[in-house]
Amino acid sequence: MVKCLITRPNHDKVTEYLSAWSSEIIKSGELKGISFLDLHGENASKKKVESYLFKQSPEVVLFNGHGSPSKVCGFKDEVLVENNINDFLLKDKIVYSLSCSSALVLGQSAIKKGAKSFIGYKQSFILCTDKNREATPLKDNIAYSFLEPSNRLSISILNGSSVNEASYKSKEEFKKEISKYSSTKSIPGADRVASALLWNMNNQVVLGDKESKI
Amino acid sequence: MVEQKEKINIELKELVLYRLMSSRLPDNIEMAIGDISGEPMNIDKIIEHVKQGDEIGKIIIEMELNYLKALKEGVISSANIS
Repeated sequence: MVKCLITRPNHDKVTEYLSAWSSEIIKSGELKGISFLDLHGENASKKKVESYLFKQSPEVVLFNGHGSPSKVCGFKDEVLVENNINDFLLKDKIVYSLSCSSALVLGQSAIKKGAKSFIGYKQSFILCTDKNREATPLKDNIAYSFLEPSNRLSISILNGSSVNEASYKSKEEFKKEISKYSSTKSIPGADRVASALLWNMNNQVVLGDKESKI
Repeated sequence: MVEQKEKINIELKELVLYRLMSSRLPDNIEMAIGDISGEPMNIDKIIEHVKQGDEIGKIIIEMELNYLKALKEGVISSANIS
């Protein structure tokens, strides 16, 4: 059984969306033989993350939440893992961080400390949403275009793809969504959505061993 | 040289503002830039940040210019060029 630690804080609109959409990974019918260590809501705390990383030794870690170049955050933006503080806990793990800019410093540092691979974003992750769907994020078709490509990456890793293949599949999904918005005239300003998707796609990077897989 | 760079930056900012204003996103579609933007922003807020040239405004300008570059290079095609 492969262990996957997933953090899903939900203290503001953006994290509510990330939390809801990443629950689709846990529920995915495509995955077999995965044991999820799900740190949802206030359970996405530094204490629990450190304890799970240390004692349960998950092969895959999926961070969802806010971040910065040097850290990823949990519930109420508590720092979960930070460059040169506790990033050694990511040793031997495949990490995907859906949080702003964390590939820039934390990702590089985690690889130096022995993480197998770190997939993340070099700059801010941009999320477009439909205000009329805030209460039901999973029914938000605009958010789908941003978060389905991200879920594709996580599901591919957990299905045994190499991290490079997983990122490729994610970027193919991004391209499909970009083309949807750049070629329509039915939504005014759809180019803005396409440009945000392109931004995320171009900022997604794979660090460390690109061929690593579970 | 510095003056010319500043002039280009002002022109690029104006180009982005023109694009944002001439092809407006509907009010129900909002954009969040991680936690930098706090709550997701509607198009009026986005335009405000670009006008101010703050951190969010700079990201929006860079994002739009990258998109135009991708269009120019034929990486993507668009039915919405304004």
